[in-house]
Amino acid sequence: MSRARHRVAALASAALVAACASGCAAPDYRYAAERSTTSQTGSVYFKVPYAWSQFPTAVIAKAQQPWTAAGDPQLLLQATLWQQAYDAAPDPSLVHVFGRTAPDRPVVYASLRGLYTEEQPGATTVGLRDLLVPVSTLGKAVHVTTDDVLRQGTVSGVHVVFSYTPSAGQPEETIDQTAYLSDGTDAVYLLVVRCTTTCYAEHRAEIESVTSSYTIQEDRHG
Amino acid sequence: MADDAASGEAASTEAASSEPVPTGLPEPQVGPVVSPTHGRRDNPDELTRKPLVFWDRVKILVFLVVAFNVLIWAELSSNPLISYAEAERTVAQTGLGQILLALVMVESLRQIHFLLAEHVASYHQAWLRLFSRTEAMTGRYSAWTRFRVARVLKWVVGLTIVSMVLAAIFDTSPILALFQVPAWFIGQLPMILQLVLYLFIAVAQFGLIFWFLSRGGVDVYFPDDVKTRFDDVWGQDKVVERVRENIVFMENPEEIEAKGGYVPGGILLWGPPGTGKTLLAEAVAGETGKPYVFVDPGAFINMFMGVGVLKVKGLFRKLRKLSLRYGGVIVFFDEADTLGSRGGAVSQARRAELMGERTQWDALHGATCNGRHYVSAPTQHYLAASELADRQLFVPTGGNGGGGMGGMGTLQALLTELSGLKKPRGFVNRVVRRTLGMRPKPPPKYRILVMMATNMPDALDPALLRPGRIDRIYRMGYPSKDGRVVTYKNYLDKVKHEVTDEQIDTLATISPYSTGATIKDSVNEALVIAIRDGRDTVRYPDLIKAKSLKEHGIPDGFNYVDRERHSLAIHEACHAVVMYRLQHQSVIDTATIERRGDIGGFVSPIPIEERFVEWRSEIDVDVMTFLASLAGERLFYDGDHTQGVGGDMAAATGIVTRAFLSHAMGPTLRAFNGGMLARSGLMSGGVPLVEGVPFEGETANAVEAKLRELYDRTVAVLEANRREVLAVTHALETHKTLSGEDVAAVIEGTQGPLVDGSGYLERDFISSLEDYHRQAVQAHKVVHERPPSLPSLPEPVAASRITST
Repeated sequence: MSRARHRVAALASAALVAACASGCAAPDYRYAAERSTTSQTGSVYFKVPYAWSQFPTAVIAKAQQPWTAAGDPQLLLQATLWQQAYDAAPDPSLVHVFGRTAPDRPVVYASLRGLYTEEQPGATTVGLRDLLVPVSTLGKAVHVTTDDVLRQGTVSGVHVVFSYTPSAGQPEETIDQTAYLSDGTDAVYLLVVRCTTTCYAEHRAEIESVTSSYTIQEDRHG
Repeated sequence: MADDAASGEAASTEAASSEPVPTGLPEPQVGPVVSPTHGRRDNPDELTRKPLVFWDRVKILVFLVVAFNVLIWAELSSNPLISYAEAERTVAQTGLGQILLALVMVESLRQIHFLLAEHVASYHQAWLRLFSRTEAMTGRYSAWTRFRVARVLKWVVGLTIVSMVLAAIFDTSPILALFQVPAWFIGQLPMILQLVLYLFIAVAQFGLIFWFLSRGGVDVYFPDDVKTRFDDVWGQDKVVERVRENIVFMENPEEIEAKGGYVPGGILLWGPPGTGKTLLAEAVAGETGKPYVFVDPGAFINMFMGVGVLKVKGLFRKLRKLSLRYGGVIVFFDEADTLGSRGGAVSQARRAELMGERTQWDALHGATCNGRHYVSAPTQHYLAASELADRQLFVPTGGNGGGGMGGMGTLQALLTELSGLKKPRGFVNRVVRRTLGMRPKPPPKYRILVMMATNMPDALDPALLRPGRIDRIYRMGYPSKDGRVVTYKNYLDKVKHEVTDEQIDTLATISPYSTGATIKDSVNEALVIAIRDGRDTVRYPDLIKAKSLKEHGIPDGFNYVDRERHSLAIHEACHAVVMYRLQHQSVIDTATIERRGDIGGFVSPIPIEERFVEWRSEIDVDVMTFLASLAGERLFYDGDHTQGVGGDMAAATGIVTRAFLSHAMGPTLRAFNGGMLARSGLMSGGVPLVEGVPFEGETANAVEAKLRELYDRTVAVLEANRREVLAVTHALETHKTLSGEDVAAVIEGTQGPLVDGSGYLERDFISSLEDYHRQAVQAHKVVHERPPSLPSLPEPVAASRITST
C-alpha cells in the first residue's frame, strides 16, 4: 500500500473512531417533533433534556381513559390530535404531570388540539392565557412573572409564567405555559412546564431551554 | 452489497491474471479474494495473508457509514431544532443506529483480523488450520448449493438493511417499510403508466410499420385448393418415386423413427427451368392433403433491414400452426437461390458449367453461319461452354451473379428456424416452467416438409443444404423420352388432333431437351397454326412447324439476291449432304436458308437416341460436317469461298484440338483436364493459347494435319454426291426451308412430306441444274452478268405442295 493510501486509511479510521466516540455518548436532548400531516395543523418541534423521561403515547392515553367518562374532558380529549409528556423525576409518573399537587421536578406536557366550531369565535390570545388557570380573572392570587405575546410565522400566541397556590397547605406551583393559536383559529398548540416554585427556580435554565425551543411551523397548503 | 463483493472479486481476479504465476500452486484462500498486485512481493512462502485491495478493505465500512448518515439525515430533516452532532447521538441511541454501529465494530474487527493475518504469519496459519476444518465440512455441499445458500444470505442481509433504512425514511417499522414500498409504488403508478404509454406509442409505431412490411409474399393453399397429383408430373418418374418416400415418412414418421432413423427434413429440386419442380411440389401437397405454403421468391427482398428476418419468423410461426392443425404442412420456396448465399458471388461460368445444357444450348444459337446444329450434342456442349468461357474472360465476374438477394440476416434466420423446430418454445414453457423448477416440455413434432426449387443450386448457401435441413437433393433433369411421349400425349389429348402414336414417338425423339413447359407450348403453338389455317384439328406438320418456330424463331423474311441465295444454298446443302451421308447418330431436323438475325441459314440435327459418349469416328464426322461448307464452296466455286465458313472452321479447329488435348484422339496420348478451350482467347505474342499452352508447334501441326485429312475426305464425299448437293441446293432455293424428311426425299428421289424428290433423279433436270449452277458461277465471277433464273422441277411435283411452303 502506498504512503498516500496509508495516510487516507489512517485519516478514515481516525474519523471513524471520532464519530464512534461522539456517537457513543448520549445526546443532550430529546427532540420532539410532530410533523404536519394535514392541512389543518402545522408542525411542532421542541426539545427536553435527555435525562428527562418520555411517556409513550399509549401510556398517556391509558391514563386518560377514566376521563372519557363524561363532560368536557371527553370532548377535550376527542379534539386532541397529539400529545406528549416528559418527567424529570427519577421515578417518572403521569401523576406528576396530571396530578393536582405540583411535582418537585419539572414535568412537560405538550399537546395539539383542534377547536370546535363553537369555540372558534372566542379563541383569542387572552383566552390562550387562561387555558389551564384563569390567570386573567384570579387577580392577585396569581403571580405572573412573564406575560409575552409571541408570533412565529402565521401563528401567534402567548407565553405566561405564573405562580399560585392551588389550595391551602400545598406548595406554591409555577407554571410555564406557551400557547399558540393557529392561523385559522381552528387549533391550539400548547406547551406546559410545571413544578413547585422552588423547583422552578432550581431548574430554570433547563426549563427555559425547553420553552425557548418550542417551534411551530404552520405552512398552510391552500 | 452482493454486487460490491462480486465486482471486488472480479477486479481482484482480473488483477491476479496479470501477475506472473508463482512457482507452485498457492494455498487455498479464505475470505475475500485478494489481489497480489497491491500485495507485498516478499511473500514467497505464502505464510501470511495477501494484503487486501484498499477498496475491498473499506467498502463495507463505507457502506455502513453511508447508511448511518442516511439515518442522521432522516433525523436532521425531521426536526429543525437538532444539530448534526445531536442527530448523530440521537441515531446512535436508536435500535437501528446501534445495529449499524455494531456492524461497524464487527467489520472493523474483521479488518483488524485481516491486518493481523497479513502481517503475523503465526496468526494467519492458526486461522488457516481452523478453516481447513470448516472447509472440510462445507466441502460436502456442492458448489451450486453453497452458492445458492450464500445468495440467500446475501439477499436477507441486504433486505434487512434496506428495510431498516426505509423504515427510517417512512418513519415506521422495518417490516412495514418493506410493505410500504409497493404502496408507494402503486401511488406512483399513474405516472409510471403514463410514461409506459408514451414509450409504447413510440415503439408501437415501428412495430406496426414492420408488422405491415412483414406481411405478404407467402400464400397458403388449403388441401381443397390443390388439385395437382403425382399423375400430373410426367417424365420425372424417378424423382417422383423418391418424393413419394418422403411423404410416406411424413405421414407415418414412426415407420422410420421406430427403426432408429429420422424423418428427412427437406427436399431440394434443382434443374433447368420448366422441368416441373413447382408442379411436383404442388403434387406433394395435393397427394398428402396437407396445406401448401408457397413462398414467393421476392418475399425476402426488402426495403428495410430485419424485415426479412421478421418474415421468416412469421412464416415459421404460421407453418407450426398449420402443421399442428392439419398434421403436417408443405412449404415450398420457389427460386430458392433468391435466399442467397453468405459466401461470395458465384461466377456465371461455373453456373453455366454446372447447370447446363440449356444455357449452352442457347449459346449455340449465337454462333455464326450455320450455328452448330449439325454436330452431336456433346460437341455442341463443348463448343457452347468454351464460348461462354471466352465471354467470361472479358466480363468481371465479381458481383454479377451472386444472387444474394435475401441478405441482411434473412438466410441466417431461415437456417435458425429450420434447426429450431426441435427446441422448446413459448414463454410459459421456457421461462415459467423453468423458474418453477420443471423441465420445459419438448415441442410437439411439427411435420413440416420444406421443399425448395432452384435452377442455380450453386447459388445456395451450403449450410442450407446441410443434412438435417435439406437432406435430399434431387435433380429434375430434362424428361426422359418416355416422359416426353407421355407429356406430348397428355397435352395433345387436351386438343383435337390427328397425330399417331408413332408420330408422337418421333416427336419425342426429336425434342431431346424439351420440358413439360416447352412441350405444352409447342402443342399450343401447333394449335395456333392449325386455327390460322382454318382447322380445329392439330396435325403432325403443325407440330413440326411449331417446334421449328420455337427452336429457331421466325425468319426475317429477308430475300437474298439471286447469286447470294445460290451460294448460301450450296453452303447449307453441303452441310446437309455430308451430314446425311456420314452422320449415323442423328438425323437432319431442318435445313434452311431463311435468315434469322445473324444466322444466314442452318442445318439442325436431332439425335436418334440419347447417347452419353461420343466416338472418335463420330467426332471426325462432326468435324467433316463443319468442313463441308469450305470444301463445298471451293468445290463448286472453283476454289473460291465466302467468309461465311469462318465460324465452321473455328468450330472444327476447336473440336479437333480438344479431341487431341483432352481425349487423346490425336497423335499423342497426353490429355489435359478441363476439356474447354477456356483460355484460347488469350494471345501470347500473336499466338493463341490453348489450355494455357501457345497453340503452335507439334499440337498445331497435328491439328492442321488432321483437319487437312478430314477436309480431303469431305471433298471426296462431296464429289461423289455432286448431284445430291445440287438437288438439295435447288430444293432449298425453291422452298427456303426443308424438313429432314424432305432433305432425305430430295437426296433419295422419294416422296417427302412436302417435296416429291423423284424429279431430282431425272437426268435432264440434273443437267439443267448443272447448267444453272454453271451460269451462277459465271455470274459470280463477272459481277455485271445477270444471274440465271432458277429452273423448275419437272412434273409430277404437285403445284399445291410447292405453294404450301
